Amino acid sequence: MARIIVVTSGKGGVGKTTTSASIATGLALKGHRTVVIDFDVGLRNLDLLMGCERRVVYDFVNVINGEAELHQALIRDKRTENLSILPASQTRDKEALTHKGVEKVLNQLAKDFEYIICDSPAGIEHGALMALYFADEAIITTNPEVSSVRDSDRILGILQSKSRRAVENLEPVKEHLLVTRYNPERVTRGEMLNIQDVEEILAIPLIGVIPESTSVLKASNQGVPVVCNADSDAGQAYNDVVARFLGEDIPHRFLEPVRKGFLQRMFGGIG
Amino acid sequence: MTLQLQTGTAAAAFKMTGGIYTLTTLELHSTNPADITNQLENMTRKAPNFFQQTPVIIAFDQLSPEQPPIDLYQLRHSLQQFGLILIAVRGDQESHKQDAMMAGIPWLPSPRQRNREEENSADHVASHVETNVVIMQKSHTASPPAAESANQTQTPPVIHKTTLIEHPIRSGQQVYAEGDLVITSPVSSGAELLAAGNIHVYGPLRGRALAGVNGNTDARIFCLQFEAELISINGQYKMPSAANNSDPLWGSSVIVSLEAQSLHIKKL
Repeated sequence: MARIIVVTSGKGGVGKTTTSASIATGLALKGHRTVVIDFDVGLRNLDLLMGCERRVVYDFVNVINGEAELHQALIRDKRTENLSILPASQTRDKEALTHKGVEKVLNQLAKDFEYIICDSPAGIEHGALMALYFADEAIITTNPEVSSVRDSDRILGILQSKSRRAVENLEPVKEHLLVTRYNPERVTRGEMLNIQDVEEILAIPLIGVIPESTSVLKASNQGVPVVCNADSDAGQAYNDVVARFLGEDIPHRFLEPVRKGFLQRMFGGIG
Repeated sequence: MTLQLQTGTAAAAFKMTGGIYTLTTLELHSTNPADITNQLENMTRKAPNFFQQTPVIIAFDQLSPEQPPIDLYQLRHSLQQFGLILIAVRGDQESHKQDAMMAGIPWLPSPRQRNREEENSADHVASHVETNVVIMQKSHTASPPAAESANQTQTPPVIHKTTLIEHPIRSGQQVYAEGDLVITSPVSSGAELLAAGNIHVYGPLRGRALAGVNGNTDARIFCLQFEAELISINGQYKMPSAANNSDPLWGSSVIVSLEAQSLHIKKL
């Protein structure tokens, strides 16, 4: 039975799409058949981060409306054959995502894939509700600052009241906390919330901490998920997240400021 | 209590809803202020808390036209002393309408003629008690039936079940309990707890907690980690803050109670 995982946050710009791309790629690289769906109809981005924007012919909304078959819209990832992408439509709006339509597509995907990653749009409106409704697990992406934490808290409340598992009184959605854009130096200076604060407020298990890194922006612009960059700290952190998601017990990294050596201090840190 | 429980954001500032409420009506049979005060005193002595914050309607339609007119302001004041709040006036005469308008409260028409016929039947006291009407009679004829009616309107207090919630209350969620509310998980900022009874939070309380919302001044709020945005008991509220050091108990276990119309926060 396929697991449906929603990557959501409430707030925009915290790293949902980056996370969706990296976790989906990470799972596929570990040999799991995975599909990642862009629910951000009208503000299509996932295809850019995955580097497949030139291959989008049909999209999610076309499939829902019966204008295309699912296999026509699915894009096979060029890096790993276990991964497929279902892009969003850029010319429609979120209302095009109907309850019945989304359910039908997910049921069809569940036959072929182990993991279905739903990249949620920001907000708590229809698009975000559709992305989280059918979820079995949720990755709550949060930046270490108060507004992002509060919005994540809000979305957790919605998961607990409006998801299918809540409505049908099933076992609740399994929640994971992912803190992104974490900067230990700024935490030490008191400019950012620390991990303990975020964990205490949201009170859900922590699946990983992604350090703030220039490699994330570079990866987005190149259309290669950052998890593929094994040299970067963010890529390694995402790799850890995928492993933890699959049940491995790995200690959290990148929580402390990096101690700079003598030479580094002389010439300034590189990377 | 017509309360909208929803987590979604409402675009409209309010929603109009209708509701049927049982209200106590005081049917005046005398306009002598002393008689009225005496009977009110008798009633409240038997049940001191029963009439606290009770909305009442004054009915003039049983008065005979020969009775001298009554001062509505004075009547409102004496009712208030016994905990009754005058919310409307009932009567057929034009003067009643004007009195109500002057006092800034609604005027209601008399019920249909049928009721008036029942009034004249022998067992009128009993029929009134059923409709939650307290009869104000002239003192010399009053004592036994009035005492009886006062006793009968003392319905035993309804006991509401305690609501227990074991999952966290998140930002944007609202919980209402008709009795006591017990929460064994954190209450996030932006969440709102409402209870007619006490509120217990066995965890951090970071949201809003309003206890005794239906007029229970004995309601209390208990929490293990006091970081609330707002606390309120029976409408008396306080917005604690860590910033200005006004609340030295910030972050500790506290009990909040209402004493002499102000909120008291004590360490548990």
